[in-house]
Amino acid sequence: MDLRTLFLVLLVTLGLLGLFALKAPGPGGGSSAPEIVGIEFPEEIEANGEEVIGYVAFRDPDGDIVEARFEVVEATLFEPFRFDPEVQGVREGKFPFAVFAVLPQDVTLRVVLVDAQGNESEPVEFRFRVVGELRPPPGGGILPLPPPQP
Amino acid sequence: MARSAQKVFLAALVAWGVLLGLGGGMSPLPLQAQEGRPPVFGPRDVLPMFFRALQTADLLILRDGSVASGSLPDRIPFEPLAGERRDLDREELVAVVLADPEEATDRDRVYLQTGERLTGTLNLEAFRMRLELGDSVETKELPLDREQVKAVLLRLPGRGGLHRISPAAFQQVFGLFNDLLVSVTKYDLLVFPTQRVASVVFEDRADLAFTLESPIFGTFTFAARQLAAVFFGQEEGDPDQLLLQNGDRVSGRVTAQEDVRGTLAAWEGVSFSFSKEGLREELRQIVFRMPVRLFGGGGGRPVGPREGD
Repeated sequence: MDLRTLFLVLLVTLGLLGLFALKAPGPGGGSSAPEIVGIEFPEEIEANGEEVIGYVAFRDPDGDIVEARFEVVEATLFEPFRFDPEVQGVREGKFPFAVFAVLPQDVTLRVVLVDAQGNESEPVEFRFRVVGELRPPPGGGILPLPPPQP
Repeated sequence: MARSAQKVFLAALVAWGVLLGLGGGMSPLPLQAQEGRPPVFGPRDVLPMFFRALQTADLLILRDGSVASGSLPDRIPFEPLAGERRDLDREELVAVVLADPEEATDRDRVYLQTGERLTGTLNLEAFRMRLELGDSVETKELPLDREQVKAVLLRLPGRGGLHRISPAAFQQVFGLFNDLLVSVTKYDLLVFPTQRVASVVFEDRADLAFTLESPIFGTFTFAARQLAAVFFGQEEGDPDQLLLQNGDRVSGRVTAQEDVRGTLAAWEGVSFSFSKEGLREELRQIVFRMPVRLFGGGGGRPVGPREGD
């Protein structure tokens, strides 16, 4: 086998290997997973349905985060949510999120960031208390209900 | 020749590397739509309904999240942790909470109007619920299954007797009011003219629809999935109202497109059936299962301030 033949065989082999690597599903294909650096959110919010803004600080060498996922770990009535934080091209920074509740309760959420390759950050949990009086409108009820106790 | 071949080989390797890198970057995930909107219909619309129900009957809360009005016996046998077995007078009570069967160490708890709490065992063999919802649901004495029942909130005394209940008593049973709200996210709810309530499972819910005849706007038909609630006028000449999922209200005369049938969630064997024209005589209100997002949730705020590198 001369050198040219050997080279061609090597080239074809590498080509096949490359093709296989492209087709095979892999976690991230070598890109880096996003990292949650911190979460800013008040420890207490009012049970009045008003949106309260928080921030997720992140780091992502690839700058290709496409989804922020908020899972419910503990709550009485709170729906999990997800959205595109629109930080494509940003490697380090923070983005806002909004939360509302109309029911006094303790809520624990778990945040996960997902990049365009499907890489997921390590989850980070945060907790807040929704406070307020669970009370019917004036004239509509009779009970003065206290807020939940710690 | 060999040197040239090595160069070609290296170039090929670099090219594959570039291709792999590009390939890795060409499979983005589908973007998710923005979610999370402020509520338009929430617990403030629901709680008064439960308070009125509690003024006319006891409220049973099941572990599956359903609720039903009914009446416990006047005297409830109770065995405290230490001390003699005795009968509790229902007039002394605010609520009873049954031991969670998954918690081996849990005990039944009885909350008194004074704010005191008793721990022990309720004798459920004598613990039956009397169901008197309306003309359309047969009055029955039904046994309570310890495995299924979470708690019973006792009927509130009339306005003159409310002072007997200490604030501490309400505070202790506060979580049960949350359970009432949770129930409307799991089941549809019927409110009877007596103000009593019951979580229900409609037969053929997907096909359930209501027609509203408005003297101003004409006739419209709404599927149950589009509605938050139906309010039936109780006096002759009172208009009915449809409350839509988006919070809008429309008034007129409401009829169902077909007869409405189903079963009580708490007791599958207890069924109901209303003729499509007779709903307003049988019911005061239908509250359709509410999405959890009306009570709490969130979303992104991409228009807000952002810091980047």
